[in-house]
This record gives sequence, C-alpha cells and structure tokens, in this order.
Amino acid sequence: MLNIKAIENLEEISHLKQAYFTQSTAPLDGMWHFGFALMSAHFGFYEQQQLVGYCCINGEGYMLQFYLADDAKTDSKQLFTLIAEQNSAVIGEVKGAFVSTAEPHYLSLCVDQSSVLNVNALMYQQTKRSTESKKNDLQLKLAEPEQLSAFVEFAATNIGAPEQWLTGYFSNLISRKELFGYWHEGELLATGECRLFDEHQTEYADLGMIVGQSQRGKGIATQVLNWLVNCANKRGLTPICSTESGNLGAQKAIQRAGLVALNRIVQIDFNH
Amino acid sequence: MIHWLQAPKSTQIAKYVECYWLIEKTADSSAYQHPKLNPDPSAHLIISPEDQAYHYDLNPGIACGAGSHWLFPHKQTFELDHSNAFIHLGIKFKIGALYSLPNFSDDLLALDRVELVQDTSLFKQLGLNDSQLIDTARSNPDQCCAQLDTLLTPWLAACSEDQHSILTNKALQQLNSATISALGEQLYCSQRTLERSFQRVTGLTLKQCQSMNRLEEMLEYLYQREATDLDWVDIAFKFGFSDQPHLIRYLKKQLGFTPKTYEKERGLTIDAYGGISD
Repeated sequence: MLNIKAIENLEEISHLKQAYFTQSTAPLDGMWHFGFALMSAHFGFYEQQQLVGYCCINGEGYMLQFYLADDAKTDSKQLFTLIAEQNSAVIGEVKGAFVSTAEPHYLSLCVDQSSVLNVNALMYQQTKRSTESKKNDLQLKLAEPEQLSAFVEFAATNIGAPEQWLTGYFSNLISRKELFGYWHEGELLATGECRLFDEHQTEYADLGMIVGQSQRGKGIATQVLNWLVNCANKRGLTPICSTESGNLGAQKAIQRAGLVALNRIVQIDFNH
Repeated sequence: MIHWLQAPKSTQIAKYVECYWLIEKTADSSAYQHPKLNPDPSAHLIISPEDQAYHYDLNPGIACGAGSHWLFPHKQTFELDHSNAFIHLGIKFKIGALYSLPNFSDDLLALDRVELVQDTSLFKQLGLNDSQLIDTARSNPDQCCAQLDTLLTPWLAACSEDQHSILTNKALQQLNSATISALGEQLYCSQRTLERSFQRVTGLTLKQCQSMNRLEEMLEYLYQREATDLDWVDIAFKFGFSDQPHLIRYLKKQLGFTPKTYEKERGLTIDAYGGISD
C-alpha cells in the first residue's frame, strides 16, 4: 500500500535528494535542480508511513525529479504510470517532464510515457583539465555590492529578464562572491558566474555568462569562459554549464573553452 | 427501483448460499437500460416470472430466454438489457458451492454462461413457485427469505464435501489477504495440489478469483464515494490493481464523465447482482 502526501518542509526529504544526486551519472544542471526544482511542489511517497521516495512538479505541470528508493516495495514503473496518467488527486495534473540523460532511471520512466520529446538544453562538463591555464588577455573582476544596479541593468538590457528577479539573483551571487564582470573604460561588457554547490555534487562549479549584445561575435564569450574555467580549476573544481539547444553561438564558445556536451536536458510530453 | 439483499438465517444454508436478493424495475423507472454486470466468481439462481424475458450480452455471444435461469460464474463483463420492466429474485451461491451440490447440471463448472432453469427437473424437485415467491419478496422480505431457506434445505442437505472442496474452502477464507504463492504452504499442501483442487471446484484459478474479489471490493468502495473524492493512486494500490493502468483508465472513464444519476442507478443494478451490500 502506497500513499502520496505533499511535502511541506524539504528537509524531510534531504536524504532522498542526496540519494537522487548520487544516482545521477553526471553532475545535474544548477538552474534546474537548485533553482527550479526547489521552487516546485514536492510530494512524498509513503509505504506504511515510511518515506520511500518523492517527486516534484513545477508550476506548469511538468515533473522535474522522481525518485523511489531501491528497497521500496512499490514498483517504480507502476507508480510512475499512475502519476503520469493523472491518477493522484494530491499531485493533480502532470503534463510531462523535464529530465536529463544523466538521470537514466527517471529518463527511462519518462520515455515509457512519452508522446513528444524535444531537446531543451545541452549539458557540458570539463572532461580533462589542461595542464596550464589558458592564456587570457581578458580579466574579470569580482562584483562588488555597490555594482549591483549596474549588473541588473546590464542583464535586463541584454537578456530581457525581469529586474526584480535579477536583483535578488545577483545580490545573492555577489554576497557569495560568485559574480564577475568584464569592464572596459567603465562600461560593463560581459558578466561571468562561477557558482559553487552547497550540497550534493560539491566537486563541481556551475558556470554562467552574459555577453553584451554589441560585443558579440568578437570572441569575448570564449575568453570569459576560459577565465571562469581557470577560476574553477584553481579551486580544484570541475566546471559544468548548460545552454539551450538553439543557442549555437554559446555552444561554439563553450566547446572552444574545452567543455564537452556529454548530456542533454529533454522536455517530454506524456501521452494521455 | 426496489431492492433488498439478505443473508440466509439457517446456518446449514449459509454454508452454501451467500445471500438472497431482489431487484425490480417498474415501467416508469428511468434507470439506465444497459447496465454492465462485472465479473463474478459466484453462481446465481435467478427466479423470475415465467413469461419475463431475459437478455445477456455475454461478450462474446448472447443468451436470451424467459423465466427463471442460472447465471454461472463469469470472467467476462456481461451487459444486461433492462429496457423493460422486470423483477428478479436471486439466490447468490458461495464461490465453489455448485461443486458440492447434488448433480443438477451436466456441466458443473460452466463459466460465462446463462442457462434456462424453468421446467428442469431441479426446478420441479425444488417445487419453486415463482409467482408466489416473488409476491412475498415484494411484500415481506423476511418471510420470503425464510421460505427460501425451507425450500433449499432438503436440496442442500444432500451436499457432500470432498478433499478438493474442503481445501478450496480453506483457501477462499484466506484468499483476499494472502499472497497466492504462499497459500500452499499456509494450507500444508503443495501449490500444485491447491491450484488443481481450486480450479476443479470453482472453475477459476486462484489469481482469477482473487482479482474478481478485489474488483468487487474496489467497486463497492467506488460506489460509496463521489467521483471527485477519489484518489486513483490510493485505489490502485489499496486493491492491488497498480499493475493494471488500463483498468483504472476504464473505470475512471465510466465514473468520471457520467451524470450523477446515471452512476447511482447503474450502481444499484450492479449492487444487487454482484451482492454488494449497502
């Protein structure tokens, strides 16, 4: 007998999340698994009051994680099928899932239910460290708290994200000393992020970057990435990053910086 | 729609008879005309007025005739024709009971069949007076049940048990809570012996019988609740159907998208035939 209940406090399932990340075959994407997943609704699977697994569903009805412990009595495919076919009144509507190829068990369950599958993003990681750090003309500077508004304005202009969200996002990165800027003659031309993980996959650093629209096509992206890769390597960390499947410019730059697209994030729509 | 359902008072009869039931549809009733009859491991002896037609879609095949008839255990879902007014007084036998009854049919283990009983030697032997019984059933259920107890006593007194029926009865007592593969050991015999005896007595495998019982239990649970209150994941695991998503899809469709009145009327019909008490 299995019951599904909403999880109010994510600490209740921290041991299951730990197991989930341990099972993955590559580091998971920071934005999806430490940003979007944490904002999603979580549901616990209980066998006789014993927590044996969980899943999380984002605001649009897409599943982002699914985990059932190996020693659970419930069959994972049976449970997954029941949920995918909207049978749980607690969970409600499930349209599909976002899943990466680095989560093979979850991916298999999703593929069983799939009607449409689209590659959403490519997941990169450094596979071998270069023996010497790459030569770099370009230098990034750590962002200071008083530069927050400059960073917010830059990102709002160049990627169109809402300022309110950017303010929270960047001020957190600044306080963690994970945000950098490439300045030229007092103007911010590119930003770089080298984000560390507080839990799970702590041997990796997640890279991010924005190049100003007017500066694109000059090789700045590759140089910013090289700087960020060195930054991670100096701390003994392996850099990872991801980019949308349609962003060919970013893909070229990431490849030139020596990262390899080993995995994919796919969007799967369920067939019901 | 009038209906009642009562267990026999006599303990001797109760060994073989699950319950007596009555269902009547009057001409002015707007009840659903083609209700489904879910799989049932029990046989029913259905007493009806001799000129009242019956029609079952056996899926595949049809059975039609008039008057009293046997409804044998069935693995298929039957569809009934209830477009006209009718009245049925039913005797629902316990699973496997027919095996122990003195010979009344050429084929004891008939499954998925409906057979005319009017004018058979059994009918005469029992001295069933359909019109009198049905009148009593309408006016005084208690008295009707007492009459049926009396009528059935000489017949059921001639029942005999053998090793197969004894073993099967023990298995039936544990079937709903047991894991089938562990049942042989619990009953101190080989799994093969148990399966063979069970099949011989009931015409069904242990697994088939367990599934039918669970389905009935699940339907009883479903009919007692509003469609909006149902959590199908809970239901699937509670009744052991988590490996059958097609069944869940089917039931959801049946219950979820139909007007409330349809459900209630439809439920009632199945209640009476299937022996679901409420």
